[in-house]
Amino acid sequence: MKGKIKTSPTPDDKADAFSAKPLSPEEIEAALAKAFGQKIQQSQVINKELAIWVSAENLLEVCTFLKESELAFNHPRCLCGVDRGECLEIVYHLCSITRKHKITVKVKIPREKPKVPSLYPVFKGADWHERETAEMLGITFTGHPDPRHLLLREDFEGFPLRKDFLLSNQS
Amino acid sequence: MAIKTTQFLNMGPQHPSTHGVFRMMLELDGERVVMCQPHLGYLHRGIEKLAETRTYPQIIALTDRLHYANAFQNELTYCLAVESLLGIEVPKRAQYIRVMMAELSRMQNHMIFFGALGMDLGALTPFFYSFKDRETILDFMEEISGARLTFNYFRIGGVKEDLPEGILDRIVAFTQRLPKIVDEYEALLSGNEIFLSRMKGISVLSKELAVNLGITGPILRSTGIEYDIRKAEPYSSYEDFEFSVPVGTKGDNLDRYNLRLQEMRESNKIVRQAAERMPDGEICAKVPKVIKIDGEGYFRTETSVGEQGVYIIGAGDKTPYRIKFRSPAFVNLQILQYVLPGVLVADVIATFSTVDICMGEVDR
Repeated sequence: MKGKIKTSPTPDDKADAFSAKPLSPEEIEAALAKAFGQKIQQSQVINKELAIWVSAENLLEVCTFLKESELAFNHPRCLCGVDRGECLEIVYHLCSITRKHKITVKVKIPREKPKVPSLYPVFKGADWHERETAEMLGITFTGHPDPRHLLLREDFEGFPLRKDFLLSNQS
Repeated sequence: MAIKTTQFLNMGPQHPSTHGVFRMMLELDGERVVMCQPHLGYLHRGIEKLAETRTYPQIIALTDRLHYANAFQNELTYCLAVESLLGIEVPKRAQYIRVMMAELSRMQNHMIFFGALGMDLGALTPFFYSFKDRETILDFMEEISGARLTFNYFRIGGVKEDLPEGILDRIVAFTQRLPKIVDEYEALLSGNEIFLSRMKGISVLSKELAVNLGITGPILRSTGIEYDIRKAEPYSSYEDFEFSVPVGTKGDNLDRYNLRLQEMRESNKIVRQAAERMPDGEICAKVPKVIKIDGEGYFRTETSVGEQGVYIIGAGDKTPYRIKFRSPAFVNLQILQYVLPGVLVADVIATFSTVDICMGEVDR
């Protein structure tokens, strides 16, 4: 079955994306700077992977571009939330199955009433990840089709992965 | 107003085919599934929060407890992540031992899959065959690491102890036997008509949906996408070994089953190459006594289930600031909502079994 994937690309991707080589972090950075300019708040190469920071309003637009342009970041790998103290941060790890390069997208949101648009319309795989992040850190993913608790019981109070939620051996 | 003719069936959480504690709400129209809503979290232990209060070497013991059949591979992912953040070069012998153990555990995971799948579909014999052979592998693991399930054998920088004398010869002898064992498995189940009728063309997953959902591992490859992290981003000397990546065509239950049997043959090749070419030398690199990490990184490996990722954020402390385990089964389980509508209620069990999950890993 070898080589089959190269002859039958998925409709989401351009045919040339399959033969294209992975781009270096700098090349991806340049492509994004060209397309979005100031909307990319900050970008940095961490461990040979590009990390970009965007605002919550621009998240959907940037992720749609990442998926549908020739960059072809079509595979959501991981999504998690981090309590950074003064703010909360959501980290999206995306990669390209076809071009085999990777990117990290980060969004900083305030601690009070944290809100971020759901990525479900772009990546269906964000579904359970977002539900988990929502219950663990108390973040609202606007537009999520099913915002119930996932791992915790429905009447659980508090947000376990926030730093002010202490375990019994921490207090 | 039309009368609603569907009914709800609550399957689980203590259903024997759910491989743990998992509940599905099924909406049925006669015998056909209309809608499936999974409920999970019964085994949630808060490992990520717990890890924030443990030092880096202590967390290895926690990773064992994610998936009982994949413990070596989960340990490997975590150790690789810490090593790469610290810039530690692992000695070649330790890398080969790690690869050998990881592939042995892939083989025994697929043996559990084979036995459990047969049992879920009402064929008890395959279970006895596969668990007999799995016992041989567990005996090797016990001899090498001292434990049968929760090994705690890998260390940051290498492995805990060197291999016992003479074990490599016995592992090579086992790898010579394994192709025949897999032939036997295929003879037991693969041609059975009742089995085929519940596997062929059931619960088809499309390529586009698999990629969009972030599915990895055998399920992604069964849809026809050749993507394996061992090939795409080799780690721990995987580039030294010759093996091929089996790929399916249709993405149905049968493809997922066949693919895993083929993967056992490929893993067997890797184990044999590692055992035959085992280099001499150190088994553990020089590592600082107190491990402190400043910085962050996401690392991933290909386990038997799919992409196991570890995202570590260190703030210069002995304990991580935040650690995220991206477990493959958690993501792979999402296919149920998409592939189950339309299948017969009896085939729900077959489909669930071919997803090959362990709830401990899903709920963490």
